[in-house]
Amino acid sequence: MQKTKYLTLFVLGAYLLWLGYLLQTGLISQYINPKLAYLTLISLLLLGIMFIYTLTQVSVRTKQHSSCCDAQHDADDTHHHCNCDHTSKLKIKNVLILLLPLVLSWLVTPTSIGLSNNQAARVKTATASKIKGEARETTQLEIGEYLFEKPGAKRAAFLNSKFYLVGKVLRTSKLNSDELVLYRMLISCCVADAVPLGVVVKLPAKNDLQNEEWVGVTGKLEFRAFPKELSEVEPITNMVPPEKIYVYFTATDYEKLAAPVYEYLFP
Amino acid sequence: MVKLRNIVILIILTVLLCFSNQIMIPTEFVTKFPQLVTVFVSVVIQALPFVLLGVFGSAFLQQFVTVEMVEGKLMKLKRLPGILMSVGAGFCFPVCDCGVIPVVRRMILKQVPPYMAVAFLLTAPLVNPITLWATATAFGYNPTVTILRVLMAIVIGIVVALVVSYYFPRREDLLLEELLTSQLPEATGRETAATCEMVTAKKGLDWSQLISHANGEFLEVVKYLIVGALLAATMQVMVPKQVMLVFAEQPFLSVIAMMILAVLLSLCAEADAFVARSFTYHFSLGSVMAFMVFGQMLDLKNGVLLLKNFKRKPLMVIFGLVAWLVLIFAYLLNLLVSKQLIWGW
Repeated sequence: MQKTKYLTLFVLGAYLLWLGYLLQTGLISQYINPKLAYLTLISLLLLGIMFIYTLTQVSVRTKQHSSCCDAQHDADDTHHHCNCDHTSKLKIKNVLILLLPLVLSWLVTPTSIGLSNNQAARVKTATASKIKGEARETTQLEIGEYLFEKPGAKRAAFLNSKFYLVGKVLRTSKLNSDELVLYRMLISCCVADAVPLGVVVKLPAKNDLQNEEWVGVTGKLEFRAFPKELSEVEPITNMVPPEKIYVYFTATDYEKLAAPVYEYLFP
Repeated sequence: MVKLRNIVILIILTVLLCFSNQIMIPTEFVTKFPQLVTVFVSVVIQALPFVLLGVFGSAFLQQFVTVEMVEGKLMKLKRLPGILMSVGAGFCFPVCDCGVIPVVRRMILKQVPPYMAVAFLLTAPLVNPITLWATATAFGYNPTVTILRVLMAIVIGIVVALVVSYYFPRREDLLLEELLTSQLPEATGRETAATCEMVTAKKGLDWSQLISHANGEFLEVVKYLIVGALLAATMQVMVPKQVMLVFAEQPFLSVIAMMILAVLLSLCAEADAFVARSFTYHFSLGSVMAFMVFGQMLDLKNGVLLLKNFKRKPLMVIFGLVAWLVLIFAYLLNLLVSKQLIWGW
């Protein structure tokens, strides 16, 4: 039983340190929507209570256990009544399962969830724009909100503005060589529910941009009738409202960027 | 003493490590492994607070609400009001699908009509507040999924309970002989779900008992959550989308596939919504709903506990009927409701 207590203490302590570290370093935003980080704080609080309780039990049992239980354990290990907690026996293999997420997250740096496997382009540093100028910064999420929630006059006003849009490149044979999809992943809860939201961007000239490269573009957007050819391009179809239109961004300038600190969009 | 099996595993791991550069690991796996880990860890992190709240809620009620309180109310009621009351009781008890079995067994032994106990058995893990909150959070506080899940559970619970009331009206029809002939188990009922049960409450709050219960239940439940999250992440990241879509695009087959998956994963009610959500981009709303509803009514984990307590014939009737009803409801959802309802996009 003491072994179980020590193992429980070890597992709870490890979880406490792990979650505390993720919150402290901000790494939590690589896994979940930071707006829901308060839920992880709740986890920390409850795990802390359980850890402190187990810690006290270990010290108390160390002093008392032999007088209370040992003799009875030797005589009959199945049925006796004392105040010791016999509800769970934590085995080593269970401990290994319990520690799996901790070990894996320690060994493997959280990676950006994207639509292709091009990891080479994913260099993460904060970056500043050289072309933004007077253009108003927008996101695929904001464009989506205008598409789905703000039809009419507001949408028209939105179309007349000059915008700066950041996203990752997705090349597809369904588009011309000077066109690409600029997308970002939207996370509602955690990266398991990441959805790509993308805008078709026409660049001023042919370019050598690769899949998953981060790019910033300035220009104007318009809404066009959604063609069937693009129905297999997921980031675009995710932004097609019931009236079957899609966003077409004509860029006057573009620049390569390093990945932003917060890669994902959070509603 | 170190077991021989552990030594063998250690030797195999050492040999694998030594020859790791010569082992052919698919490039696709190596490339996608970091993504898999990220998805896996994110599901675990997001589900943890709900599992913890669930185990603390369960431990808290264990201290304050006795099964006798519920039994006292239920035994006075007629068939339909009794079934509805049993379903309503589920809203107050944060018990998971394995924790509910010892409670139901005890209810039947205490002369609560079996159909009422079955209604509670099928609905309680799905309609309790912790599960509701977890489902709402997992699906971005979009009420559609949460409401559909609760409604589906309630309708299935009522229909199955009514069938049980006609075909298995007596407790002898449902419980194993040895349970009926033997004494009621000790209040703790430790021989079944050691960490997941409701016991007779004591007067006043015993913090030590409360945290001890929460501790044990947490360590038991998280184990299944981790295995489930790993499988879900593997399916999401590793299985080519085209393979998934073979099932996903079939409104009937996709439901069956997700029901089987739910049984195999054996996820806890507080955690399954987070795993289910990761399937929403491949599978339709009906299939995801089948996963969340059927998985909480029957899975490998509680299947073992059910067989230890109930007769096979009624179990087959009950869960056969549950399977058909889930299949029909989910199939209808697939035909009638768009997946866009899940996200509002």
